[in-house]
Amino acid sequence: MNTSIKSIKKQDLKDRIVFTLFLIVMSRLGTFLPIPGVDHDAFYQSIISNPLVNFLNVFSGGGFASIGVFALGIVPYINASIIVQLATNSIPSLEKLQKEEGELGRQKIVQLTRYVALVWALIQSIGVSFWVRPYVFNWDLNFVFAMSLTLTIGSMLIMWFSEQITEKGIGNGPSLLIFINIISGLPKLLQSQIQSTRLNIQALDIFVLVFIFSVMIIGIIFIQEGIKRIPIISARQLGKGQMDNKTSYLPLKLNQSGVMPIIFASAVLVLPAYLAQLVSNEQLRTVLHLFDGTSNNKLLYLLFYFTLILFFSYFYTSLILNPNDVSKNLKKMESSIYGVRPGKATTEYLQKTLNRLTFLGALFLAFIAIVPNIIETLTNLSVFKGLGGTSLLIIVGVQVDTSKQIQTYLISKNYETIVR
Amino acid sequence: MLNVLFGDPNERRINPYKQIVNKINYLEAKLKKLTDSELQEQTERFIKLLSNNSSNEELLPEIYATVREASLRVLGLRHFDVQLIGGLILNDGKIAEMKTGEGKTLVALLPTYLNALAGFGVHVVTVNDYLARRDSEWVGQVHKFLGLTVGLIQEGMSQFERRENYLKDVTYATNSELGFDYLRDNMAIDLEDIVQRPFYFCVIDEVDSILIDEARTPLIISGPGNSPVNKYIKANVISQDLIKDIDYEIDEKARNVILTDNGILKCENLLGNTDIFNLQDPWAPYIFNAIKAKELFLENIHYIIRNQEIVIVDEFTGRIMSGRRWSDGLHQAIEAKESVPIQSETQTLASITYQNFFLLYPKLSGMTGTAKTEETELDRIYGLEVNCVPTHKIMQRVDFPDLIYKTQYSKWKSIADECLDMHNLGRPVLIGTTSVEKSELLSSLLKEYGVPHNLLNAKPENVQREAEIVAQAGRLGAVTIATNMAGRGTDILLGGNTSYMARTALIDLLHVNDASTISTDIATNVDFLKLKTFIQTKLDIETFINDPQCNLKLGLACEKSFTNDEQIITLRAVYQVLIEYYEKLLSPEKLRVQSLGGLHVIGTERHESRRIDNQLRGRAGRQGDPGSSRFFLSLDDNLLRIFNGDKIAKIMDQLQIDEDLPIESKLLNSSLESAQKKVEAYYYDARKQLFDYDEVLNYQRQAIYFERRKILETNNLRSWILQYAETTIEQYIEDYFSKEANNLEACLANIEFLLGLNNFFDVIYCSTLNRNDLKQFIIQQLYIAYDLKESQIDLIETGLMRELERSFLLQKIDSSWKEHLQQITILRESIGWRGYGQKDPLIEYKNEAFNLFVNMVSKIRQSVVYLVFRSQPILKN
Amino acid sequence: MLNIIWLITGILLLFAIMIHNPKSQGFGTQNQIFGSTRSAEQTLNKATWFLILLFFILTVVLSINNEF
Repeated sequence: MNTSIKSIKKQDLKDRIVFTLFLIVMSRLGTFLPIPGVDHDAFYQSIISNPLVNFLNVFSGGGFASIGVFALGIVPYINASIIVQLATNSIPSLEKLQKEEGELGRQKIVQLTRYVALVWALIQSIGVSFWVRPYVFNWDLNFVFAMSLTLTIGSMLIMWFSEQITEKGIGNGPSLLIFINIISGLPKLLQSQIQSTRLNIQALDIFVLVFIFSVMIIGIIFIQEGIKRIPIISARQLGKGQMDNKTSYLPLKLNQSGVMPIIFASAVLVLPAYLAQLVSNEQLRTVLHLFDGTSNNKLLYLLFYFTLILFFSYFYTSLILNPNDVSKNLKKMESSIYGVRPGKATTEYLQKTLNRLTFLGALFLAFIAIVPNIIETLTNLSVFKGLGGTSLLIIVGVQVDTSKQIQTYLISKNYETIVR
Repeated sequence: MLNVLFGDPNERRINPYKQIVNKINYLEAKLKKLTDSELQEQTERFIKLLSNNSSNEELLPEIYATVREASLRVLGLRHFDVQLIGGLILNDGKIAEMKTGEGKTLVALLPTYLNALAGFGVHVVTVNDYLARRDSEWVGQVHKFLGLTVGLIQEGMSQFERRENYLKDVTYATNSELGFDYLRDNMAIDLEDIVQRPFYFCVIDEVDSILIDEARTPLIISGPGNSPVNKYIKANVISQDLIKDIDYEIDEKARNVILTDNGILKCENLLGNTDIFNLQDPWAPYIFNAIKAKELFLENIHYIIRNQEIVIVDEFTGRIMSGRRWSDGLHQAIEAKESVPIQSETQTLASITYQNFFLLYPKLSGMTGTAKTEETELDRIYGLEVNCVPTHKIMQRVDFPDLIYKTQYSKWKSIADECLDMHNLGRPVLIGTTSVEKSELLSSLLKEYGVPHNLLNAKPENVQREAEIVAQAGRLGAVTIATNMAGRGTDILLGGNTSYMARTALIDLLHVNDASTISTDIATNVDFLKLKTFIQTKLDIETFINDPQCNLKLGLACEKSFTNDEQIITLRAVYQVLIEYYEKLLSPEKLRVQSLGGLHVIGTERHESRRIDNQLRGRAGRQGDPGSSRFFLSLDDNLLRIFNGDKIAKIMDQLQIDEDLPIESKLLNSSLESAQKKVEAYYYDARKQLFDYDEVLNYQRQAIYFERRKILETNNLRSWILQYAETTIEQYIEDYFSKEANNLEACLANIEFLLGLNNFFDVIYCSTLNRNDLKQFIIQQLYIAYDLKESQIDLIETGLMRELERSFLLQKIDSSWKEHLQQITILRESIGWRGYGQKDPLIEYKNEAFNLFVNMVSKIRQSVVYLVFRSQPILKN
Repeated sequence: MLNIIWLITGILLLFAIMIHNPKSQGFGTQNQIFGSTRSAEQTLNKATWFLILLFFILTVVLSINNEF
């Protein structure tokens, strides 16, 4: 039979999963690999209270709790990706590389991202080595050099791991690593929560918690996966007399920008607090505090957060999805939206639809992001602080994507048995 | 970069082979002592040893030494060491890169013989029928001598002939014939119609041309479709009215047409205000195709008109591809443009890409002169590593740097000048053009200059003389213009090809009757007339010419294989005389040409891939001959124009270069290289995409073809039908049980409809049963119904049931697969949009394709069961 | 002494990682490598793993010794 299905190059699904797990374990190990020369105990004590570090901690999986080799984690790479992506959308020469040069162009963009990540890691690691000064036994230039090198290498290693996972494992490397980092932070979070509120837990509380948690998850899945299908007809299809094909559509996501608006909004939110520290005028300070969530009246803070998310949603979506581009591409592919004339009419239609979707999506997003805060205010439970919008969104997103990939792999197996 | 660190990897890869070559050389002395028949007995001995599980590796040196000795005795050609290395590489399932003229055909002997010993049949793949035949008749003799059978597949052979030839130990065929035979086999209705054996091993000659250049277009077998012819004509008229850049834009790189808002309006007006994308009355596809035909597909570049038909010219080889048609209505649009009769559209019945086709072989190998630049692709897609084989003699060719002109005009003028110079010098020149049109342009230019030359392109009047022209291309002062097709198969020998000329003379001797036209060359004492008389004494020329075996015998006469045939011996003697004559005649010429510098190759444009540039260059400097090459380029060449030559043009403008002066500049060269690399990457992308997406279809194709083959091979399909019926019924029952809302009545009605039983099942009774019991019950009824049906049908004619089952099954599978292919094509085209939802289109495609497949399969099941149970054969009186 | 080896290992590791050409499967891209072959890639990977191991071990050792 000329029908043996050659699968030499396809690694078995099992192999892939094992490989992925292996790399994940390696990455986790690395966070515990202590950097020589730092007094880790003293360090640990002092950083628990620092919120900024906590935030970073979430992404690097507790790497900041003690300075391990992988302390910086995947953060430099992620930041580099964001920067390069923004740059690609605004600098035309980069844009050309991405869109028109095919594989070679994309490769170049990827390499650019890697080098930017390297630079970021370097800068950040130098910063960290200065920051830990109080905790080092023997702080000198040598130390700075060695530590920066270590941290940079650590971060680059994580980047390499993530690339290996994408290539030979399951799922998308960077996302998976962030996912793992967040998850690994959970037990500690829960533990600390339980410790601090040990006396007040009642069955009702738990019930409410679980309920809200599930609602959030469902909401998130809805946002992540929700798409509006815009039916497309292609000229070639018409030529063959095939009409009304349900698989030919343009999917517009409810939430085009993913977690970016929340991240940006959070970044901006830190401003008032920072400014408050700088300003000496008492009145100004109080005003600023209204916006940074540390005063007792959280309303303004929440409103501010909400608006920021809405704004950034629109902003980011407009960056990555340009209706004009889409319209041009439709023309290039000799297709058009069913019922809409190609050209300007299409662009307008797309813009309108996009606006509507973004509005809905942003609303949802903002809501999800605020829920933990609202709950905290209402019930005095700050469990969800650590599970704030970003983390949950990421967790759910990665989960869904990975399982879809696994599903696809399994499909190939099915072919052999499906016919009979 | 890595080379510097780790040393030349190629050297390291070749080294182990060198050791084996030593062993082979060592064995040579021993084998020389064997008599012919002892040598022939080796084959049997090898077969026995191999079947007793002796390792391939142990016997390898001896086997190769045997082939070498046999080749020496039969063809008079002894394998060089480097050729042995090539043979070893091939046997390891890799690609051997051997420069032009190294004798690749001979090399192929080695692994083919070895692998054919296993008895499963080895395929040797060539680029065209001519080469397949030539190789099988030429080197095939060695196989025959050693006791293997040699087969050949040519276009137009009958099924019977094909089957015979595939059964041979070594079969020579072209890639397209192999592919089409495979597809046809999987559409066969009868086991007897199947011509191919299961694949085992194949050696692909010119592997880069077949696996890369030709891999872009899938192999398609199509059947008649239906489409309105007048729309094409009307669309053509409309396209004439549309103005470039106002009504439409062209994307040359992607070969696309974009209608502007203006253009759409204009079209709608011309059509009477209908929406061109209207589902009921679509005009868009026709208009797009008409514009494409107008702007992107030009006569004598992409196609020629022959016999009122549009025949596609392959861009890369310059050969015509008769029988091939562009799909999606493009061909029809071109037919409308050229006002030739429009043939109806076709529907795909079966298709496969070359990539997936060759992956069907458990072991694959290939050879070519140019593969290194593409080794990534060859490795990724086919798993074929590329090893470069050092040349037998050191290469002496000088590759001059490119000359870049500002305009086409100045470029062609310079080319003509150079031709004139070379011609006056006496050096033979080969000019490679990229299209038929350009070759004709140059030809007329050279005529003006008064340079005598030969033209080789796809136009039918020129094709016939191909072999002759190529043979003469290395003679003193010869000027040959060729489109790419002259890059293959026939070597250009300096001073002329003596064996070709001797052979032609021999043929002339036999055919020409008028004695006065045969000259007598007194200088070398060759009296043609005497020769002719000599032949006449030994065999009657008249009858010989009319003997169908005539050409074959002539061919054999020109070879050195052992023969008993008197006629061949006679002819051979004459041939030898002629060879000597021509050698004497031509060898001073050869020396002269060599001293002048050998063959000079002129490239007129950088091709879309560096590989093809290298192929052209490789025509000169074979086997250590002197030679040179130079490329003439201009700023408005296609390559530069499409892939951003405007930067360079600007630079040239700034430097205010005189029109006629060329630029020899490293900066420009590197820009060109990078432009070429971009093009290559672009096409690589396309091929990789094609492969990735076809992979999905490949799994499905395998599954279906496997099933189909099993059906063909099974006599009693009863269990098949019953299995299908059971599965379908189970599906219905599952549906009922899983969705509570579904009523039992509907479920039962479906089953009854399927089986042709009316109001058979008692709903009340059935509703009392649980899932399993219900299944059992219904299945029991199924079996009974089946047996009833069978006896009913067999009453009409015994065995009819079996035939019906088979024909329904095959028919349904074929028609469903055809539809499925259409659906998949549409899916493929529309899946790109998913990227906007941030989903990977490939993954989406895989999922959706799977769904389509599952649907198709259950549809097949249902329809077959329905047909079997509900058909009422009528006796014709 | 160990310092220097550690340093060199580190830099080599960095170098090895940066040369690496990832096959990124991003949104809508395909996975492939252009410009390096399977065998070169394999060698690079093996070298990288080796360096990683070396680096880890050295870091631990140095950390224990608490010197720089």
